[in-house]
Amino acid sequence: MDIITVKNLKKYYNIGEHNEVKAIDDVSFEVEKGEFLAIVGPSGSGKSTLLHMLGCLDTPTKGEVIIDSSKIHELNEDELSNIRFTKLGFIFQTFNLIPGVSAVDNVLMPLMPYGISSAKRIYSHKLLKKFGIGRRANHDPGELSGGEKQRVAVARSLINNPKIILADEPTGQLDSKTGREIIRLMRELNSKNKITFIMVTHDETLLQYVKRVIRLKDGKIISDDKNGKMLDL
Amino acid sequence: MIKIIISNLLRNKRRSFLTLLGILIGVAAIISLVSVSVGLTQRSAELLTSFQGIFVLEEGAVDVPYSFVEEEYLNDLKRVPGVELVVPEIWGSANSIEGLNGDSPLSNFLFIVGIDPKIAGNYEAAPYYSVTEGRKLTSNDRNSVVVGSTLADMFDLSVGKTLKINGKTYTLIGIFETNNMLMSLLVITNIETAREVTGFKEGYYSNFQVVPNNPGDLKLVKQRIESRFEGKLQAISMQDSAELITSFISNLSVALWFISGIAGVVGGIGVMNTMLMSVMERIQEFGVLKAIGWRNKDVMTMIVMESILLSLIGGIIGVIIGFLVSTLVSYYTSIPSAIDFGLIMQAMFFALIMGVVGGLYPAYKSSMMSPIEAVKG
Ligand SMILES: Nc1ncnc2c1ncn2[C@@H]1O[C@H](COP(=O)(O)OP(=O)(O)OP(=O)(O)O)[C@@H](O)[C@H]1O
Ligand SMILES: [Mg+2]
Repeated sequence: MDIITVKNLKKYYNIGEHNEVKAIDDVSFEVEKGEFLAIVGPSGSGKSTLLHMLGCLDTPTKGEVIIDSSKIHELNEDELSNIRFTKLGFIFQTFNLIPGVSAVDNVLMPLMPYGISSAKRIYSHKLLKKFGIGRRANHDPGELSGGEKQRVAVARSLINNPKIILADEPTGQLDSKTGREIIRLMRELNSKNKITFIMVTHDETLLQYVKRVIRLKDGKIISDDKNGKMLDL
Repeated sequence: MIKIIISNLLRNKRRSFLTLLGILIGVAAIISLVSVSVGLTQRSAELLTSFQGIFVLEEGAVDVPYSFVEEEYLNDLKRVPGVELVVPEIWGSANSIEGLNGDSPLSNFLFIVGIDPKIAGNYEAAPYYSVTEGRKLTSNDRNSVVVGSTLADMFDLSVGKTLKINGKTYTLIGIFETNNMLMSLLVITNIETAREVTGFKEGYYSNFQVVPNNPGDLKLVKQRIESRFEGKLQAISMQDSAELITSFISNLSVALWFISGIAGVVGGIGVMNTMLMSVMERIQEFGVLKAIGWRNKDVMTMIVMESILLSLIGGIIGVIIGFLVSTLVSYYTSIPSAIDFGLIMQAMFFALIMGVVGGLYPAYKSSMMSPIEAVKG
């Protein structure tokens, strides 16, 4: 069963009258539930653009994205927010934690407008503990190292039990050892919790740890390799 | 939610503080200005309606001390239908009381009033007729005075002590209380003593107080006096003045509200400016919040609530400062401060409006931003 279906997806930017940038140019693929997928390609090839459309953050120029049987181009703003809230988790290269708010409150941040149950509060502490930063729960993000910040971000992406986690260069600002730690964490969540991971990366050395690699160039898929080594970390 | 709102406001303390100050000044201005003006209105209305009589002055005289009416009018006025009592008075400046002379600005407010106790009888319509300490004047008293409580306090006088006016010594036999500041500075004495002290023209009085048989006929009697003595005497009923003064003060109140309103608008613009700046700074965060599942309205609610919280805190502090200011004003001027629940609610409502208005536009701006614009950076 495909959890994500992308059909003839296009994203064009018009800069000036006849100057069109084809950031994503007629891309189609499916992602099965529980996959661990990497999207790679040179800078400007459209990786982030694609990920943002998968994450309901951006709207396609043409084509469709179906996430867990919801056709996202048919949804309004609030319905998109709802998809993001119920089905998706995000991890960013720059962590994007909210400053001035403790680590544990950052983890709980997605729930804030909806109300936070005590069960979720316990869960957030459990996640931080599991990621080895339980003692950092009440620290401000400014007081955490890059790796610790990214763990908090991973915990945040998990708080609402998403089916899919989208990560844009999650290791981009970490040294290779810390980066691998984060990948290991993601892999564990992938195998144990059956969460589908889609990760954009520059780092070719990380590809040995994933099952599937989609290569983009100039907005087009140039290869889709489903036989990744999936080495242990 | 409230946690993140507070933390957001604390993130740029200086800016939040400056905004707070803006709102605070607006609200404090409303509270203090309006309460003082309302207090003034209440006080003057209270004061003026306590005169039941009609003041009869020389035509053209602006006030009692500048008025000279011939003695003969006493009997003429008594003959006006509906008149019960005509009480003559002499008002004169007390140039020097206890050595306090014309150099002191206060001496402009010190007056001696001469009355005729025999005629006045039990008439106590004017506040200075009612004595609360010591006793009232009688016709036999010579060189005796009754003074207002403020004057008594000022010179540390008590019943039985003596008082030097324009070089001569008088015995204090009574003190009267009145809530009118100017009245409570008066020296009351027998009409002949007053004439002596002030050198008032023989054969003249300053004014008459005319009391109608029936308080309901005040207007009618006043009209009769006006028509009968046209060109010679003017009749003033205190109710007229009360209306006049009340309307003047209510105009004043409108002006004060207007001034406060401007302060408020400035405060509101301050809030909006703060919120706009902080929204612009945090655009990326809002993108992140939207990416992790917040709806547009959640982000907007957060921004508006930040702005409302800021305004309400400013409002509360403003109410407290306004209260202190108006209490201080009333302490030094005896204008009562009229802070009531309604005024506080109005000021808080005003602060709330500033908060909502100041927050809505920045909130709207934030909602216009697409989340990717934000997370791209
Ligand atoms: N808002 C925009 N307006 C115009 N062009 C844009 C816009 N956003 C992206 N692009 C262009 O679309 C193309 C794809 O951008 P994208 O950010 O997806 O690349 P990327 O593969 O993520 O690159 P990187 O590895 O550097 O992050 C680029 O050529 C970029 O300049
Ligand atoms: Mg990118």
